[in-house]
Amino acid sequence: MIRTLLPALAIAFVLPTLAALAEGYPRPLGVVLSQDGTSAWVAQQRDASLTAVDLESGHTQQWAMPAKLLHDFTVWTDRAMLVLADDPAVILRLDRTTQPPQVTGRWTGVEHATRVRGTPDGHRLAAASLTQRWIKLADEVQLVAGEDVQWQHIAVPFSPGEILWLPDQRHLLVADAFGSRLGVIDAAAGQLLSVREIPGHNISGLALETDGRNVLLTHQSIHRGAETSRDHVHWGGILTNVLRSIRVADVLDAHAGILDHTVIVHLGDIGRGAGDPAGIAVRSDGVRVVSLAGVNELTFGGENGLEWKRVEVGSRPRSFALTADGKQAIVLNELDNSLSIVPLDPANAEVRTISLAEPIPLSPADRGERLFYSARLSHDGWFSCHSCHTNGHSNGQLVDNFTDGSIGTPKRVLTLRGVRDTAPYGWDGHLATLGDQVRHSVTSTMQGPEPTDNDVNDLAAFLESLPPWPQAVGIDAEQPAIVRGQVVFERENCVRCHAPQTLTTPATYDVGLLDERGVREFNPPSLRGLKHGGPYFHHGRAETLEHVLGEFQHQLRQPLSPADQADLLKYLRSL
Amino acid sequence: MRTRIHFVPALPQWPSHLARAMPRNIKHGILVLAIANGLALTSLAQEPVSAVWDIPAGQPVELRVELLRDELLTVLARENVMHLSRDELRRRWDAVVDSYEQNLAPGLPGAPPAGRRLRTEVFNADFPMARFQQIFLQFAATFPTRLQLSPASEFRVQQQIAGNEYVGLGVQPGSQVGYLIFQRIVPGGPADRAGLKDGVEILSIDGWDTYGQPVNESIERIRGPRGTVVTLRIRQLGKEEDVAIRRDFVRFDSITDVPNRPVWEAKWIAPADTRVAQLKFTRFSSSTVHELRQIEARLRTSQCRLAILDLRQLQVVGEWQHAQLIADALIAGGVLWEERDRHGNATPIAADGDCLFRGYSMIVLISGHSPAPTLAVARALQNLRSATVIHDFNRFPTSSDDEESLPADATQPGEILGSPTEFFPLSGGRWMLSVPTRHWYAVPGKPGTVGVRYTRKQEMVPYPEEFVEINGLKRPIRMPVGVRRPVTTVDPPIKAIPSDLLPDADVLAMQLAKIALAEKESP
Repeated sequence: MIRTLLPALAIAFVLPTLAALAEGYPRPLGVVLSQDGTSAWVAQQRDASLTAVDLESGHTQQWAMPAKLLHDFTVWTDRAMLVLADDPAVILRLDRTTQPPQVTGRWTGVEHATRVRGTPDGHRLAAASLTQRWIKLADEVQLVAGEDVQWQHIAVPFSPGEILWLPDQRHLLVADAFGSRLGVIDAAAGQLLSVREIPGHNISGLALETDGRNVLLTHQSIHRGAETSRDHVHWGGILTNVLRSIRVADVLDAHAGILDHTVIVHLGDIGRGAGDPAGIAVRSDGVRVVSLAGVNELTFGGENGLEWKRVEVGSRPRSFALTADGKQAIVLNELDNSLSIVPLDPANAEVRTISLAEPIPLSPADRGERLFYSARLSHDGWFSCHSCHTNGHSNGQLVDNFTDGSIGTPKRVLTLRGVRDTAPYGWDGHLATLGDQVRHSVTSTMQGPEPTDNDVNDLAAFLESLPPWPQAVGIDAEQPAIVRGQVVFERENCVRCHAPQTLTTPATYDVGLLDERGVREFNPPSLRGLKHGGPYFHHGRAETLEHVLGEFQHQLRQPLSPADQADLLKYLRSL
Repeated sequence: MRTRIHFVPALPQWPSHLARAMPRNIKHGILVLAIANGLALTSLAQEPVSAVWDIPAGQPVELRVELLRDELLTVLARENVMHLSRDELRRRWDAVVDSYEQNLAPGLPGAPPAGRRLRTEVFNADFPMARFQQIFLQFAATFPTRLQLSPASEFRVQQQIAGNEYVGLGVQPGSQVGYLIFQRIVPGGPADRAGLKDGVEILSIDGWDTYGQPVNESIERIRGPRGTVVTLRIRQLGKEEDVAIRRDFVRFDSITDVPNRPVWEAKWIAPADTRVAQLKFTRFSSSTVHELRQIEARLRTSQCRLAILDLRQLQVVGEWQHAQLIADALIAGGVLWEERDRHGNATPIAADGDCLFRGYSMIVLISGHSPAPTLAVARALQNLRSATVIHDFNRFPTSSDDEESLPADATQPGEILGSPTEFFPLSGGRWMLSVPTRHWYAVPGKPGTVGVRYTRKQEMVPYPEEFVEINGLKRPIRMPVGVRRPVTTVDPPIKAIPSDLLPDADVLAMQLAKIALAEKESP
């Protein structure tokens, strides 16, 4: 029998076995240690449950959450942790000190939220929506007022991924989920203070140094001017995995150069790349700990990045927690549904693994997902498919690879969401099937070993399982403009190349753009989820959709009237 | 009648019956077989045949050359390299051929009548191909940009070296009089790991006696794909033995410290001043940026706040692309240069906002012989990183001091810095044509950037005139010559240091470093 936690009541229920809960792969989300450090909490996304793991015995117990899906799970204060749930959309505050957990707070109004973070003093909450591009904020007064919070709504001009409260517990750092932007929000003023860029993408981890002077980021950087040839992959010439520190003072000062005092540690080395760095934590003595989600390792070491210790853990480690004494890291292996207990001791490599559930048979798409996130597909583990196609979407970067049969012709990475319906593949559309595309990418872009037919089929199955972006949830007031914009879209014959329902067509067209080798005909990318794309065109020279319609006059017979352009933009952003 | 021509990669070991049947015109890994009666093709079918063309009957080698020429002209026209149509290119080629034939020596196949002088020696079994190469060189010389045609095997080696992915034994053969000698064994390379020492004599390569053979042929036999094994009969320390060595990557560091210590022992810090890092570049390659990252990390906890980048001794320069990657790695933001493509479209090549050695001051040393890519990097550092660039005319002096060098006020906008090339496979990949398809132009420099010309010349200082009177005539005591003594010029002069105290550019660099650090540290 599955029981449900009741809000704000010190009632908890012991659950039956996991098998009774799980349908398909459970997909753990995050790990938080109990206050006494004897056990770890793990949230499971798909079956909306919370598992308590006794770190000594490995014994697990599981509780169902009052929702159908979980999106985020994180530590809040010494006593509290946060769960972001869906259906119903709610943020729950749980007590870290008790087992079973108790719900001590519940706040609604966070439909479409994907991240939640609270200030360490427990006074503020921030929720972010990747799909709807907003941040919602609430302070103590709003939080104590009741469940139905009057959130402060702040639109951000990019898809927010990771968020971090800065040491003053007033400013929130917001990282681009795909690309290179960092935004800073003043929660007290309810304002977006700045949006700046760093040379990088896939910002997967944010943390503060122990002294609070620097913020640390894990991300990846693609280097312009290099192509995906073997030597450039081998020497880290095309893509590097980075731990970056930025001064908090530079982050807070909107007029400062955000990189003025930045310091970079290049993770990995030739022969042993460190694909897809993810979570970060800093020990009290300054030792930095980073999970390498693409190569299934945890790495730790000092400030200069030399001679860092690397320890193998399970599949796709992103989230981890340090024990209070800093002697161990408890790593959540998302695609193994297990915990690795890693001693943070250069002389000790004895890793203990606790499985959170019995292994279940994997579907081809499940196996493909493991390959998609594995940097082992690439030469020396420098990067995975995810490194460019972030979580199946695009990092928005230009990459000079051989997909178009030439080098010196960098092209923007295309999204893989909804890719099942958008054959053929590649900007020039010369790859007929996803299998062709996969094989080509692994061997020529990633410079990896030839994949087996099974691997190719599994990867294609995973890609086919990626849904297109959901249509934007517009404000009702915008609906008339969206409808008018659709009329403009059809009137201008945009549908010739971007035909419903996929908003693309299989042919190639000369639309007045050409690449460095004079190629003029391109296969139109689907417009689904267009607002999450950008920059636009194969060369990425149109920063925004306004540039596409304005500066580039993309396939317009004559310039649009301002009103038509505004309507068309609303329509395009709603797709 | 049509003849079918098969292009087959040459094999290291040909089956003996095929070797006998082979025409004598094998060169650069290409075998052309004219198959009129199916000769040997059934055996060859087991080998990779990379191209099969039906062409009109005729002399196979001549036809091969014509096909290569046609392909070459097609690529040049398609790439719009010289803005010439294919017909115009063909006319130019034919004019070169006419001129070439008129200058050929008598006595060679296809040569003009007696009385003409041989301009270039052509002694090669594959005469048509050698002739083609000569014509190509003259054809290429009629264009302002550099065209290069390389056999695929040579091209592959060039690419491996530029990519720091060279595959071989890691040896440097010496000139060959009797047996082949390896003058130098690259530390850590496969030959080193097999115990070969500098100066080892190589008596045979896979059973092939090296005595009196051309060194180039020996080198070709030593080369091969990674993982393959070559067996050498060696003689060293008075002992003969067979050694089997597996060909593998041979890595060459592109940056050393000043005492040239191997990378794992290098300190990078100037002995005279621990605040100064000294990096000596020996090449630009795909590994250079990686090495810079490693060096920066090792210096992160040091006191270094200034780096002297010595670009004077670059012996091997990779592709232009490496210059861009290195400049980008060292410069935080800004336009390095402007690129114009074959259609005339201009694109600014910008550095991203990251840079290595952030917060360091920089001094860059270049020489009279610095290749264009290193000059481009030095200029970009001067413009965008306020590096002081010392143009050392003492080291590898140019024939004239007036030759192009860095002006003191940085670069002239619009000046062409260089022309990166692209590579096009011809003849089914047997040849690689290298063509400059883009040009890099200098962008306006920041005012106030510093360039220093260091010149040290031997000047004749005449003896004071002394005469003796003999028979009422004044005669010089000695021949009116003088002594040669070095004269140092530093332009612009450094007020704090008389140029006499700067015996070489390294001392100048250290002195400028001290001045820069003092300015940096002053409140």
